[in-house]
Amino acid sequence: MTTLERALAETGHRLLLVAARSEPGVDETLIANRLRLSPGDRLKSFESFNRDARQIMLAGQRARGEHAA
Amino acid sequence: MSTPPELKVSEIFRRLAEADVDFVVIGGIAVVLLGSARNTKDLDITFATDATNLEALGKVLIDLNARLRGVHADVPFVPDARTLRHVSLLTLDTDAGWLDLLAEPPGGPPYATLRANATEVDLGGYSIRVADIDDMITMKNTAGRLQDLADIDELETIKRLRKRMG
Repeated sequence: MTTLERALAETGHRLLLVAARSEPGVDETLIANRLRLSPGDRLKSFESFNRDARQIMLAGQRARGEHAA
Repeated sequence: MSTPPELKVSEIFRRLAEADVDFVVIGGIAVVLLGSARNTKDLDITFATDATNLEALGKVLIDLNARLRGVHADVPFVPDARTLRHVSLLTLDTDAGWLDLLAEPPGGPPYATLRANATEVDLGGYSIRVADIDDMITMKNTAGRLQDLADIDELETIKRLRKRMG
């Protein structure tokens, strides 16, 4: 830390230590909603989303003139 | 990069269950079944390596027209019990989507323990086993990729919310 402070001081800067509250990267509401579903319904939801996402991906490829499988 | 085929997870599960294959779901689909809303391109399973189970698993793979993913079709490959006995990891392309087979998932406990810890899930007409959340976290920690670290965050949240929701 001292070495870093000295190095920064040489360049006309000073070291500031800031503690920031970490933001949760997980959408708890979304997970809570999933937990209310049965595993079977979670799987159905996944398959539906996966199918739709794939269609969007294929449409994007067609729009760019790429070969879409 | 080519678009992955549609992943028909229910189709693969139903075929494995109907053939009495002894397997446990791990990887992204396990995370989904445990409560995450994330997407994944493939289904990962681990399985018992006794001769009877490898025979049953091999038959399902042949029925699913399994071939080595990313390998030219000319390369001879028969996903039968004999092949399964000699491999620890197989990444396959099947008629129902990408399927990864891991005989010994890195970081996971021995199969018997993983199976004993797993939760049996009824999917309407058949059931499957999903790896225990703590075993999943251990395996994800070992894998250590960015997606695995994100999965760990979700799995820890799922654990906490499960307790809160009862």
